[in-house]
Amino acid sequence: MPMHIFMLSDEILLAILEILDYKAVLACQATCRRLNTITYSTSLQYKVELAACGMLDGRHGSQTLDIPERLERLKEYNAAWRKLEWTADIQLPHICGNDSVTYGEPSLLFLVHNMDRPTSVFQEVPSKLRGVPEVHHRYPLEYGNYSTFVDISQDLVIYTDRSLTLCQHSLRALSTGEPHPLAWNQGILERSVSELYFDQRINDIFGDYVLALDRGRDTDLYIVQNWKTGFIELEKHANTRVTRTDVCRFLDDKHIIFSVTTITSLNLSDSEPTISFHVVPFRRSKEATSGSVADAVSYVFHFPVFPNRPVVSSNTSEFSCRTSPTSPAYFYSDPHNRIFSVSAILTPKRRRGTPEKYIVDIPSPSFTSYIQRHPTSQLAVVPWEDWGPQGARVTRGDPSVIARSVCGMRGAYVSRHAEGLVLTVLDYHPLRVARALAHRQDGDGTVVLNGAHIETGLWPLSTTTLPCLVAETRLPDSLSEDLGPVFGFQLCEDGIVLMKYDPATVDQDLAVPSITKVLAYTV
Amino acid sequence: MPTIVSVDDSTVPGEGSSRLLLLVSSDNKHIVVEEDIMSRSRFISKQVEGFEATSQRHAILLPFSSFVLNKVIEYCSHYRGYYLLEDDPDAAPPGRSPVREWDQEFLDVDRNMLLRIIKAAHYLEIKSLVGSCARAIADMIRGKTTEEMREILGVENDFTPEEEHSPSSKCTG
Repeated sequence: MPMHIFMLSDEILLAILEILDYKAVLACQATCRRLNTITYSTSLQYKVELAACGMLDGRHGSQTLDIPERLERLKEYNAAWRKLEWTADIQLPHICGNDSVTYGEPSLLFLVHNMDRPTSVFQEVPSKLRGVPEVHHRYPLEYGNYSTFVDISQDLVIYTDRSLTLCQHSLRALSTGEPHPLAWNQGILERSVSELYFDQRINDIFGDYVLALDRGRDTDLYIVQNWKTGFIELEKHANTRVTRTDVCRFLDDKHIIFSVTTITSLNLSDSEPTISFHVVPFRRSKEATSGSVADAVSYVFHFPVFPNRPVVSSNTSEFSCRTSPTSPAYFYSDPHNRIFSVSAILTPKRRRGTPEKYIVDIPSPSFTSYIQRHPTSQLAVVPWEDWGPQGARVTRGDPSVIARSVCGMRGAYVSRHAEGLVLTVLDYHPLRVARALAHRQDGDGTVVLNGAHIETGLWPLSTTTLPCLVAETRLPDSLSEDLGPVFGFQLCEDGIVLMKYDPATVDQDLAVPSITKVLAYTV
Repeated sequence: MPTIVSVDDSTVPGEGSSRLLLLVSSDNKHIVVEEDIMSRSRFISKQVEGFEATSQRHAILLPFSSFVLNKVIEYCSHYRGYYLLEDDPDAAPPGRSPVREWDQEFLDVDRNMLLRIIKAAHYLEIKSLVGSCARAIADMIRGKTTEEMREILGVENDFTPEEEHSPSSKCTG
């Protein structure tokens, strides 16, 4: 007698469905009644909900909470972001006083140096729904610290120090301050450097890999190194006589991405595209049996806003974006998905007219989908429309916007209006947008912006196709006066953090402003 | 009159130090197998504990054919003496069972057989084998459309037209 799938018990069918990804689960749900019923089990619902929210399950911190409870929290978390329903402000006093933030991660953490008695303070921004406690670590700095990079998910903090000939990265465990137990060579990565490079620092961490960028007068050097084995996966030089590397990050676990601005051109009238993104693979694929990483295809994406336009200068700002934290929480954002946000200032030729500022937000899946679709294309110059299904979003700079920040797939800005400070959060996550569109109900306050054609004073910009979810809220009235004209603003995994600066230190160009108050609004 | 079948040479009675079990399949084949091979099965282990308590050993009747039973015994013999996390009743269940290459080859059988093996493995409470079978079945339908899934799994669309267009059957897209 032939065996039929329905002769299996629900328990076995559930075990099979749990292996599938959420798309397959949804497809399965539509096959027949029996499978449809089984897909409504809580564990599968949690899985589908996680995927639809762009989150991953935080296994290591989740022992204390069972799945139905976590599913509830996840739904609440998603709703809280849609409506920007945050708790009353939480003061984070550990990083106030004379300390000043020299490094802020758009996540759960800050690093602070006290200039009189050098210490670093790492503060997690607490979240009730994700179960992140308010934790901070404080360590004395043992030597002249040059730069610092943190990855909470791996309990890793990297201090970088350098002399004239040696660049030294010290890998510590965040929770103890001791050398990281998994790190190569007792936690010290050393590399001799040439005096041609004036700046060395870690730019990103992704799993086992760290990405360092050495900036030099004539060349920039990108290095990808495995911090657990010490093995160097990639060393790539880029000529900096005519270009400047702005930001460089991991795109995924196989590619790095960096943006380059062309700073000089022999013929000003042909200053064509001046910003480009380069995607370079750093690991040989498993399938490739011969050849090295250097032979692998790299990709160049030219910024398409400018071709044949009267532009003589432009610049990109920091991507202001890095791997989302995967701290011990019940669930966390998928670190693969993030927004690359570029602001470009376009100056008309011969300085006629006023410079215009544009913000271009590009989700990383736009790059990855392109790469997946064209595995063999060589240094292709790709039109804007071909950047994958999601494209990018271009907006004109708004003078009322006083602070911007990006975290994961969300971007946020604070603008000052007559009635006070307004916070706007844009969510670019394709699944969250798709679901909001499918389940839009009247009165739930969901606003979806579709890509629109933008007319500018000088030239028509490319039409954009990237839709996003918009949520807006007024910040408390007292904040506007309390924070003063200049303040720090950071979008986090769980909300926002606002930092009040000591006005006396704001105007000194070189000094980092001292912080007198830190407020967090989180879910 | 039942036929007595020994599994293979390594399990000839008296050769190993382990005690022997008599398993009887649904097609009434008697299969003699060493106890420690089958200790991976929680079901068999519980039976053996029962024998120890009552000091009486008897044949264990199983509700599936000798063909399937031999396949399960082959699996258990391969992993004899190996520690597999999923089969440890005291260990926390792993989030996701690992991919084992040997299992993939072992389970390269038709759908009918695969379903029989997973059912038997579930009856015998061999979690690692249930996990590997579930993975193999999941691989068959991964990345397929709903229509293709129906064909592969051999199920009928039994929704009413209204149900098919309700949002709950295609919720998050």
